[in-house]
Amino acid sequence: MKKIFFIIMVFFTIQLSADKVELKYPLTNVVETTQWPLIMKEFEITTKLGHCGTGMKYSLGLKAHMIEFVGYYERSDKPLNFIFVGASLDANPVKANTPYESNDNGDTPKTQVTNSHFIKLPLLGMIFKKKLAFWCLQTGVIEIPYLSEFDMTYKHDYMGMKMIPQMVSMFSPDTLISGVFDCAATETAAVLYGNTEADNMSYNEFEKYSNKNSAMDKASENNNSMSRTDKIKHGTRDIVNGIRNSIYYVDGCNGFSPVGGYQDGNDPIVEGHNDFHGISNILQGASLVTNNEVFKKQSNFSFLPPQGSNKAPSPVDTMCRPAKFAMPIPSQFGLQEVYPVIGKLKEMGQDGISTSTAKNVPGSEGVVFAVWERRDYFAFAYFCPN
Amino acid sequence: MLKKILLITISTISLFAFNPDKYSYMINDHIDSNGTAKNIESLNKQFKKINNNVNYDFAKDFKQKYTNKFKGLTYEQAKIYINEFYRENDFLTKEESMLLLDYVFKVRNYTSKYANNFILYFFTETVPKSSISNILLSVSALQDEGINLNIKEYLTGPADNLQNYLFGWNDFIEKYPLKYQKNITDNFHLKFDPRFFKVYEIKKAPAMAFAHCQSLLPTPKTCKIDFLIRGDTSLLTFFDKISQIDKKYLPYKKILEAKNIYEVEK
Repeated sequence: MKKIFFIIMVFFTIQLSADKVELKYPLTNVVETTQWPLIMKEFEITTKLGHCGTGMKYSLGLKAHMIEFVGYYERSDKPLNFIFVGASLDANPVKANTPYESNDNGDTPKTQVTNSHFIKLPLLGMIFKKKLAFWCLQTGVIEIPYLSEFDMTYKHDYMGMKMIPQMVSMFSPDTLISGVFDCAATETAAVLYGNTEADNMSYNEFEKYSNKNSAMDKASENNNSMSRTDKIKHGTRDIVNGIRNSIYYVDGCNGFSPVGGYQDGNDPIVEGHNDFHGISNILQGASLVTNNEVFKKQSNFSFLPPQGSNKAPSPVDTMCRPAKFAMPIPSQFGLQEVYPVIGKLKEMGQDGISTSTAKNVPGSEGVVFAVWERRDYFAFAYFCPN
Repeated sequence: MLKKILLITISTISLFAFNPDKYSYMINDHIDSNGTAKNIESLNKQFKKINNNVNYDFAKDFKQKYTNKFKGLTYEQAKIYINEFYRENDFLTKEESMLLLDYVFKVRNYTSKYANNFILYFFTETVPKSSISNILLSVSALQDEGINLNIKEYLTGPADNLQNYLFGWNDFIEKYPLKYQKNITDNFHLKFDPRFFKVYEIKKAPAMAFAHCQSLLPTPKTCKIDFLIRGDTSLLTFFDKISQIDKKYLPYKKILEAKNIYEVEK
């Protein structure tokens, strides 16, 4: 009898201790989950002069670049489930989560529509406000400008297509081939910003990885018409980002930009990345017609083609203040996984399969990403966003 | 009355919730009208011919194209895709598209294969501007000779008078002739990263390091610092000291000796 009692007690203690082990939600652990060193890594200020405003508002500034944490983007199977803070409203799942199968022949995989939220949280701006004037942080309060549960276009492709005619008109096999450029440019941008898998390696490992010889290496060695330093001087990053942003209908290496929230349910992280492309497009578009100005253009890039001339001009000058812009800007945003596993920043459309994907916890409630936004601006003269 | 309401709700739910495919069919109609669905099928066959190992699958259903990925393509694979499938248009010809691809892969190759050489300069606001600009001009002299060298300047931290300090820099640069002004501004990249000061125990500024990094944005983890000199030295003396240890840096020293670095009158 004592033995049985002992076994039961042990069983219960294991159960109790198992209950205690749970993942921390990103907002309750914001210091540890967010990749704060990015701020130091990307911030840069130069002595290149510029000016903003006219008349009495005329002011001089210096060209600068920065990145800041602007909020969370989350994706969950359960409707109205806010994983970023660990709160659920237990909504009726009948309409909100509709798994369905594609039509003919039956050889297509099962597909699923999950629920996506974007939570605006300019945390650093909330803390520092206007004290760090040169940094010009976004200020404001916590708000949820996008809830897919209340977006009809997210659940029904036919309606979704009507919302994004500029995308749908480009969906064809011919345009899909341009995804080769977009993917290559995205991967290159990741190398330039130092957001590759190689970044996780120690330096010796990196040297082994980078010494692999390929046909391209030999080709480039033979053709040394332009030295690398020249390329950097001519704004390599601008042109690479220009290619990414010009091919706006392709989300880097993840294929076409999604219509609504339709995904095949294979990899929640890659799908999350792809979904954010669609949602950023909707939010950029919404800033044109509504007062809800969540995403605007605030980074510099030059549009295609770089052939002949060094670069085409940036479409809208946003060195003094952000501007409304109808298309998604992949080079302006980066996603960093914060739940269920803490990952590193990845460019929009960057190769989804990584070590963090392998670590993905099956059966978890969903995925949460920290959204990082870049800005090119004239420091000390910029019209700081509220 | 209740029955009617119930009937309406059930019918609407069944329309929107249980039969969402009704709308997805419409996409297929849209494709067929353009004749692109047939193209996809033929493309699918051709793609499979090129590379059996690649899992790019142009399936019948258009939606499945979202999962198509071009990630990890080598230069040669990408070249085949463009050669075979890129159709010429007014926006970008095939030749131009190949050049574009060349360019993108070349940039990636350079940045990932060859480690980026960096001069990391650590300083405070009290360090004279002339000694910093001397280093910036020396770096630009090396760059003009085709040497891969970048420079980043790290200030100990942003001070209250940062605005005055930086505009003071602008006034200082104006003392130089016009051709040197550009060389200084092109290499002036001010950054704040206290991690470097902590990791390399830099308690007194200025200090100068020669590092090679994985990307164009140095961090203590992804950069390997080979040499670190503490104190106010010029780049010439820095490479002079280094080349005594490693002969690889002797050309750097010779270039700097041959070129006169312009100095402003005090």
